Amino acid sequence: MMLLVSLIKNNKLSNILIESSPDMMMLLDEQGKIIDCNDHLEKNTKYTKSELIGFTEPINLIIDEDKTIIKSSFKELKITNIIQNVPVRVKRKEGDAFSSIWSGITLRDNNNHVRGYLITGKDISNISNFDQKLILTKKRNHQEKLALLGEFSARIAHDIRNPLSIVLVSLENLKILYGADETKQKQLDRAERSIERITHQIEDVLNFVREKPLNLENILFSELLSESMDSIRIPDKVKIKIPKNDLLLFCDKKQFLIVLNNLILNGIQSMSNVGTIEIILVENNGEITLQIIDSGPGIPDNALSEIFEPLFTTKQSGTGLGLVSVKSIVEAHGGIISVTTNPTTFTIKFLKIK
Amino acid sequence: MNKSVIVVDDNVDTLGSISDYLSIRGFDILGCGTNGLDAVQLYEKHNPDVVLLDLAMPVYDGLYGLEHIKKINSQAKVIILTSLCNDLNEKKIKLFKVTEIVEKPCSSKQLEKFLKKVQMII
Repeated sequence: MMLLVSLIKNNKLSNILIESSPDMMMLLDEQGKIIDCNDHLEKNTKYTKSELIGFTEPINLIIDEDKTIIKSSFKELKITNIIQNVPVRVKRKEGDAFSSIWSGITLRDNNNHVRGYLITGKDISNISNFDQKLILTKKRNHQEKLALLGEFSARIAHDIRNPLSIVLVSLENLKILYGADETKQKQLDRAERSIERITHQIEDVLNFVREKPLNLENILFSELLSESMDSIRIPDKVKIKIPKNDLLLFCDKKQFLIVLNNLILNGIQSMSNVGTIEIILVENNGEITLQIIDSGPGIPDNALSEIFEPLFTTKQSGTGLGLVSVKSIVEAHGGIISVTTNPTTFTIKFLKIK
Repeated sequence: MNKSVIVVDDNVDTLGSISDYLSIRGFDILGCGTNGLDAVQLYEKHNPDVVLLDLAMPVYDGLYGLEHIKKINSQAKVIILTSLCNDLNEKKIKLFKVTEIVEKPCSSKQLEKFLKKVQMII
């Protein structure tokens, strides 16, 4: 320390210590004004040494958001005599900023009076860029993985469909040939239900990964609904109240069937195969509202906000993709879907296109 | 009188399960084939009420079968049974005015519904 103070006095610091350092260095007087600095500080800040030495308020080298950090660090330095690695962003003369970390020591004389401060800093913008690049690379890898996984699931799902079809039809044959006996019928029904469950899960995956352009046509809602109800198994104890009125919809039939199938199946599952599903269809001032209401136990509050998020599911056997596909199909039709609970009600609103 | 059908699919198990189902349901199975060429030859030979045709088959695929059956009889009733129904395929198939396109996996309930539709048309 003594050496440093004498060096300051003799103004030799710049030649020996400061210029050979790989860091930015500055010497402040007891008031905190810059009295000397090295080339690195000039290069990094783009200010000339004489400009820097003229800086009465070195704090103005720091961007506004970080000024409080430097103020409190400087206070700390006065008390503790040393601070290390304070991260702040420094403003260049042109106005842009770079990330840096700073350390400092308080220089005192023999009588323990503060004579100045030696501050050193490292430009860490390369490291921060490196971090950002790392994050970006990670993100890109993740997206590539997801895309690959999507393609892979689509392929698997697709390959499973053929054998599933065979099992389904063969089971049906067995039921006709041997199912007269109630015990045997029960076994076959059980197998059939399980196959149907797999089928629906595979459909979920395929509907999610397949991006299909809309193939719009005019179709009666009643026709859509009856096709939907033909393609899903409706348990004996589930009653479906279908709307008495009918409307012509302008939509992609296949995709809208995905919407109906998913919402009706969800309803059935949430009611554990017992209860009523009511379907309401209303047209008002050119806006069509379709509601599917089930008499199930409702949706827990914490699940409501996440219900349309990919992979979110409350079901043991759910893929968490069904409602995601439903939402994207509704939105592709220019509609909006919302959900409320007690009773669970899915509401789809879209404009009637003539 | 029973309606007559030919069934064409390159997977022998699909072929077996569907033709079994149809014969249980009272259809006459006039023949089974495993590619598009079989389909055309069987159609020519038997002149069935309905053809049940898979799309993706090796060498002579379903499109080949469909195109040539329609050349023999433009009014031929053909049901396409496929797990490969993308838009491109669908456009190509629709050019030939097929009666129905059924996507696999389909339950026999769905299959029967389509057959009933076809029966009404015949």
